[in-house]
Amino acid sequence: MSAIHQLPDIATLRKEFNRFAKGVRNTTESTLAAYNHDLDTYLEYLVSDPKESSGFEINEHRLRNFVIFLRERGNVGSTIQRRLDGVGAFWKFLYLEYDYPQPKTAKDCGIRLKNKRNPTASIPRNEYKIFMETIYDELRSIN
Amino acid sequence: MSYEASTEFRFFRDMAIVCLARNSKLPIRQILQKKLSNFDELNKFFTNDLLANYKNLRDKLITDEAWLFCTSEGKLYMAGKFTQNIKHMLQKAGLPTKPAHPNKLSQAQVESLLGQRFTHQRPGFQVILASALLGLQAMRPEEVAGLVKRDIDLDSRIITLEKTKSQEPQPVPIHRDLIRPLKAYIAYLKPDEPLFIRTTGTRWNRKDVHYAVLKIAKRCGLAKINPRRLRTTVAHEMASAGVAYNVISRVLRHSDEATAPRHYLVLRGTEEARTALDHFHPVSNQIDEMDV
Repeated sequence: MSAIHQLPDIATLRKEFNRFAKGVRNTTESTLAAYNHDLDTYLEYLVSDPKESSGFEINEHRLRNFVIFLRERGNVGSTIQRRLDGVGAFWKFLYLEYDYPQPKTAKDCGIRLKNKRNPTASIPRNEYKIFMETIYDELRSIN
Repeated sequence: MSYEASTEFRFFRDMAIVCLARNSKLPIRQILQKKLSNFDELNKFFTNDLLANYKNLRDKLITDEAWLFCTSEGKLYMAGKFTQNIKHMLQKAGLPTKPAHPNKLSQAQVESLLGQRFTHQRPGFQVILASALLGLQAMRPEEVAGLVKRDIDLDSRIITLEKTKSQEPQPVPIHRDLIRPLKAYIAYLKPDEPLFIRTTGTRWNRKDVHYAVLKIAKRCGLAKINPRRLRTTVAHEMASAGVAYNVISRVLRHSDEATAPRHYLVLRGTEEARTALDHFHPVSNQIDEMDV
């Protein structure tokens, strides 16, 4: 695949990706920082895996192995989802700008993630009352 | 004693001693030997609230010692340490550190030291205000951390959030119980000054807001209290009080009204489910549970 799709070096690609994300996708600074961190982790995986020596590439097979790498590091579902979001955004950029194969979702790659986040439990009423009573007592001292 | 409480405690203690030494002409060593039981006779030398405020803070100190003026650990306060602290305060106020004896200080110097009151109270005020904004207004920690004085319009009772999750400015109505403390607090700040700063002068970030909540929770003897749970709790309390979901969504500033019921309004334990079931009667002929 890398032979078909001639890509510039990864540093140039990342520079272009940052401009693309900011300019085209109107991505915020915090999201961009998260994407870059995700890409760093993906590159870390590529370096760490001796079988993946053919240079930078994103495909279904590599995404699956990337998930194995993350799980072995002890990352939980939401973190893995976060990493895949960043790599997925980069894949989409390659697809749009470099005629790269169409990106696939984690589900289409056969990856199963627990997406549903447990809702945050509220504080028991008596504890909330104690907490707020303390705050009210202290608020009165601000003068 | 927390850092915030200790800062305030030390300021009121030292300034009370300065005023007492100047007004009563008692030697410092003799003042430091005074006991809690001497409070009333000593308070007669004060025309301000310094000693009374100090006494309130002193009363919160857990110690068996009977000294009125003690260290923040409740131990005997030494005259040498007092002089050292006064010198440090003079230095902070940009004043010459000699003479440091209270009776030799000019009135202008004493006024200047008293002017540092807010600086010493601010860390404690910040912890309280940040926690109040979360516990009453259901604000997000990063929104609280980013507040500056100009964001607060007390006339229209609106906080304008510039940095929000949606990247767009959002107006937030101020809870009426927060008006007076906020008014008093921001009166000390410059127009563009951040509401919450660290001792180094840098702005708070969301972690500082987390720490503030943890400090209050610790003071209350509560565990597992955090900004996220406070936001959920405000939503939950409002729902329990019968506030409509779309209004709760507006309070929480969700772009989608469906977010509130989906994320925040999980039934609290089984009690609310039980109440709902108790009110559910498919047939009019009910079975008395005592019949069994």
